[in-house]
Amino acid sequence: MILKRMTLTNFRQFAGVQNITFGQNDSNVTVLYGENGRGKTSLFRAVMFGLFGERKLSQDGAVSEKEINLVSLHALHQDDKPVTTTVEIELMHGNCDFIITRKLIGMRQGDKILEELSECKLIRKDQKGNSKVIDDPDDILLNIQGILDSRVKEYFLFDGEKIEQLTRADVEQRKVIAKGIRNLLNVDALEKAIDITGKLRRNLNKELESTATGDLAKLIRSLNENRDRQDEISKSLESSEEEIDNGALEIRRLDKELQQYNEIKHFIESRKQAEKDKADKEEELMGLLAEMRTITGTTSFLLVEDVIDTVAKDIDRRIKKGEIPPEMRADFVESLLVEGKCICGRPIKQGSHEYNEISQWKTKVSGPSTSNHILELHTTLTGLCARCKDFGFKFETYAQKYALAKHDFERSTDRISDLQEKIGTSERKDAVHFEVLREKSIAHLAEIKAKKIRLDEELAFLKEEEQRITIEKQAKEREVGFINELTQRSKLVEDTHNALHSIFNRFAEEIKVKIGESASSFFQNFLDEQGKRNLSRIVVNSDYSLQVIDRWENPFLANISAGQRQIMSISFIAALAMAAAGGNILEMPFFMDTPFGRLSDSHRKNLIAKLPELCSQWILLATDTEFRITEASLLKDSGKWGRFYQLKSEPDGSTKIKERDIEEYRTILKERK
Amino acid sequence: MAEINKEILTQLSKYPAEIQELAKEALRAADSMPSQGAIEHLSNVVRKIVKDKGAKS
Repeated sequence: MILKRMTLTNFRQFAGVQNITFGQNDSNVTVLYGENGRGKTSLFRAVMFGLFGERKLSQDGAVSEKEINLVSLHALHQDDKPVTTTVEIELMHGNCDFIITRKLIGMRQGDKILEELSECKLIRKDQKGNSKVIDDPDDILLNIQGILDSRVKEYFLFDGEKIEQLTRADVEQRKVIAKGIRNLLNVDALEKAIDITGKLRRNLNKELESTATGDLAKLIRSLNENRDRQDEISKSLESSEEEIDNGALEIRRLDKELQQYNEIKHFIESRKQAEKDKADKEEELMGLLAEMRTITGTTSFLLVEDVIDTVAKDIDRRIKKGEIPPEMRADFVESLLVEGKCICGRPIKQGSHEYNEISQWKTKVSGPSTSNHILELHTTLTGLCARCKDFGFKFETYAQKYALAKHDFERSTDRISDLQEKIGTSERKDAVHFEVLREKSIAHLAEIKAKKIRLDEELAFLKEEEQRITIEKQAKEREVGFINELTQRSKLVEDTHNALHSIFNRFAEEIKVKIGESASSFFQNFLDEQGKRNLSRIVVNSDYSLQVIDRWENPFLANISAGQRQIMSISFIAALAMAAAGGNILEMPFFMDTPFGRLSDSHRKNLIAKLPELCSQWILLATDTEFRITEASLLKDSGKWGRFYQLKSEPDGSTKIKERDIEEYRTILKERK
Repeated sequence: MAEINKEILTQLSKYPAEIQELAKEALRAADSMPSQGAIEHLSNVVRKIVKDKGAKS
C-alpha cells in the first residue's frame, strides 16, 4: 500500500481544508515537522480514521472513544452551526487506485460536543480507468481489510510508548509481542477449532467419568478436575493481568494528581525518577542473574579446577623433559626381543641377563596409543585451564556488575522511602490523601503480582500433572479393557484437539523464528560499528520476551544502552510490519513519532541511510528538538527525502500544514548543540 | 488466508484419516457456526466417524 495524498477538512487542530501529498518511489520519505502539540499524532489519527473509521489509537489507553473529538473546535467555536469534518485519503494498492472519504458532523450541545458519522465512500479505480463506488460500510471495511489487515494497523505507528513497551523485559513487553505474533498468525478459525474441540473433550470426559468404575473413574475425575482448574487459573491470570494494568494506570493517575502540588512537586518528580532507576536496576539484576546462571550451568568442571591444573602442569613438565612421548616405544623394544639382536649388533639370547633387562624395560615404556591419549588429554586439559581462567574472569566481571547494580538498587529503595516520607508529611491534606491512596495502590499491585506468580506456578504444575494422569489413564484403560464407543469418541476428540494445538504451536514457533531473523537483519543494519562487533542477533524467546544475544552467544539485553534498545525496538517493529505485509520490504507506510529520541549520531545516521531502502514509505513525525540540521542534511544526502511539511501554529490556536521546499530546511530547522 | 488454510491442511495430512476428518470439520464449523452449535455439530460428526470405523473393522 502506498499513501498518495490526504485532505483534511476541519479535523482537530486543522481548521479549513488542508492537504498533504506523501513522498513515493525513490523519494519515499515525508517529514511532518512541528513542535509538541501542533498535531503530528492527529495526522496519524486522521489516517486511522480515514482507513478504518477508528478514532482511538492504542496510545490513548483507557480514554473512551466518546472523549476523543475529531471535529475542529476552532471551526465549531466560530459560529454555533454544525461543522462537517472530512478525511479523504488517496492510496494505491496492487494495480488499483483508491479514494476513501469519511465525514462526520460535529455540533455543540451545551458544554458537550456531539459527533455523528455522516458519510463513508470508497472509490476503486482499476488500471483501465474503470471506477466503482462502494458506500456500504461493511463492504468498505472488507476492501480496506484486503489492503491492510486492521489487526496489524498499529505497526504503522512507532512511537515513544511502543519503545518503552518493547524495551522493558516485563509482562507488558511479552503481551505486546504475543499480541503482535498472534495477529500475524491470522489463524482465527484454528484458534476457535482448538477451543471447540477442547470443550467437546470436556463434555465427553464428564460422560466417561460417570460410566467408568474404580481406579479408572478416579483417574478420569482427576483429569477433569485438573483441566477445570487449569481453565479457572487461565481466567484468573487474565483478570490478574488486567488488574496489574489498571493498578499501574491508577498509580500514574495519582502521580498526575500529586504533581499539581507545587510544594511537593520536586519530591514527586525525584521519586518518579528513583522508581524508574529502581525498576531499571531490578531488570539489570535479573538479567545479570540469568547470565550468571547460564555461565554456571556449563561450568561444573570448575569444581575440579585444581586437579585439572595439576595434571596439565605435570604432563606439560613431562613433555618438556621429553618423557612424553617416550623416546623408546614398546613396539621398538619388542622388535629387539623378537629379532634377538641389539641395535649395536650384539645378539640377545633368551634368558640372558640382557634379555631379562630389556623385557623389564618393555613393561615400563608405553605403546603409541597411550602416548597419543596422553597428548590428547594434555590438549583437552590445557583448553580447560584456559576456559577456567576465562570463566573465572567472566564470572568475576558479572559478580562485580551485580554488586554495583545491587548497591544502586538499594540506594534507590532508600531514596524512595526517604522521598515518600517527605511527600507523606506534606502540609497539604489533599496531597496526603492522594499519597495514602498511592501507597495502597502500590501494595495492592504487589499483592496481585505475587498472586499471579503463584497462579503461574500452579498452572505449570497442573500441566505436568495432566500429562502424567493422561498416561496413567490410558494404561489403566488398556489394563481393564475399558474400550467402548465412548472411550473411542473421547480419544478421537482428544487426539484431534492435540493435533490442532501442535499445528498452532508450530506456526507460532515458525513466526517467532522468522521475526527473530528479520529483526536481527534490521538490527545489524542500524547498529553502529561497535554494536555490530559485540551484538549478534535478536531472538524471540518461547515466553514471547525479547533477548539480544552477544557475539559469545550470551544473553545481553540487560547491558545494552538506551540507544541500542531503541534500535532493537525499531528492528522488532519493522520485522513485525514486514511479516504482516508478507514481503521483502515493508509494503506499508511506516510512521515514526519522535524517531531519534535516544539515538546516538551513528545510530541516527544508519537509520536515516537505511530505513528508506527497507520500507515503501517512511513518514517522520518529528519535533524541533530531535530533527535538526544534522539529521535533515543526512536525509537530504540520502536522496530519499520527498516531501517536507511544517506544522505551524496560527494566531487563533489552530494549526496550518505548510509545505516547504526541502532546501528550506537550513532556515527552518535548528542547529544541533 | 487461503495460504494459511492450505498450510494447516498440509500439516494435518501427517495425522490419521479420522483425525484429519474431524479437524477439517472443526475448522469448517469454527468458521461458520457459533460455538455451541459447532460443539453439537462436532459431537455428531465424532459419533459418525467412530461408528463408521467400527463398521469397517
